[in-house]
Amino acid sequence: MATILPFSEISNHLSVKPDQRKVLIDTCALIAYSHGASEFSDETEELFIKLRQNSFTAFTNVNIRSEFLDYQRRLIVTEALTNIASQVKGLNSFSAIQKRLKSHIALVHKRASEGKPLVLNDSEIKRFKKLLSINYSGIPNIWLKFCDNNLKDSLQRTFDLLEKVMKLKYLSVRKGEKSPEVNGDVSWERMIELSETSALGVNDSMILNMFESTSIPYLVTTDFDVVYSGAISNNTQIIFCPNRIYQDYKENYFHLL
Amino acid sequence: MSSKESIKEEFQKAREELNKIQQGNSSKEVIDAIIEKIKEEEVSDEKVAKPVESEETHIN
Repeated sequence: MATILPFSEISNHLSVKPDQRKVLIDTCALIAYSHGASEFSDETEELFIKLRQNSFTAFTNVNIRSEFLDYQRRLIVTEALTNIASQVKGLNSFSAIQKRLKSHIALVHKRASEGKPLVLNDSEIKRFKKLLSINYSGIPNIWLKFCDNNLKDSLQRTFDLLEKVMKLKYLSVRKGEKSPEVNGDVSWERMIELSETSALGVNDSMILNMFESTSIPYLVTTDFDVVYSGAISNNTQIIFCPNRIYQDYKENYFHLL
Repeated sequence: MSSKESIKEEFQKAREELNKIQQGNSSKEVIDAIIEKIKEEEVSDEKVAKPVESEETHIN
């Protein structure tokens, strides 16, 4: 099983040999850093700063990048719709668009009061897409114009910013381009096995499978599920998670895994 | 400024830039069109009361 440690323990690992200063960053940790409203945002930023200050190389892969970009897509659409909703809230109308925007802003406030920022899922985005896919006021398709305003070049920019500040390096398992850190089999079978064992999401299973198959000693995550599955996996590497998640794991699950 | 401080500043600046992108940037053109559409539907609803399409038809 992997060793689970809280972020606060990182100080005990900052002086490891230079060739051991390698860390795989899970998607949710990238999201936590990038999304200021996230519960673990400041804690994760602090950890990332320490890792870079101590010359750790941060690794990612295409799964992590695509998952991160997908979250950014949903987040930007959510925020842009919230902004529009706040500008039309004074209008009284039976309009379906207005009703949807009103219900959106009510949900934003509800989530904010619970300390959980709203990020729309695809079903909810689809509702707006259908409502706003109209030719109106000289705009051939309001939804496409909305996407052009808010998403065009933005998604790429979010990851470019992360790549630059974290000096991210890509792990590759492709023939002929295999990263030297990959020393095991990244296999479909193992990924499915990880998912089946504790109902870990398939994307997370891919990331955990990748981690297990490398010589990278550390994984940083802010996802309890990854901690849970890492704790019962075969590997002997170290998984760092936020202090609150660590406490929860230690007090309630450690003895069961 | 030490290298450690400059790294910290770099991270904070990057996060500010990320948060700015995440806020979105809808054009006045799009916002005005949505406002006009809402207002237009207000007028037509006064003339003919129509049931709103059920939510289920908006999914998928």
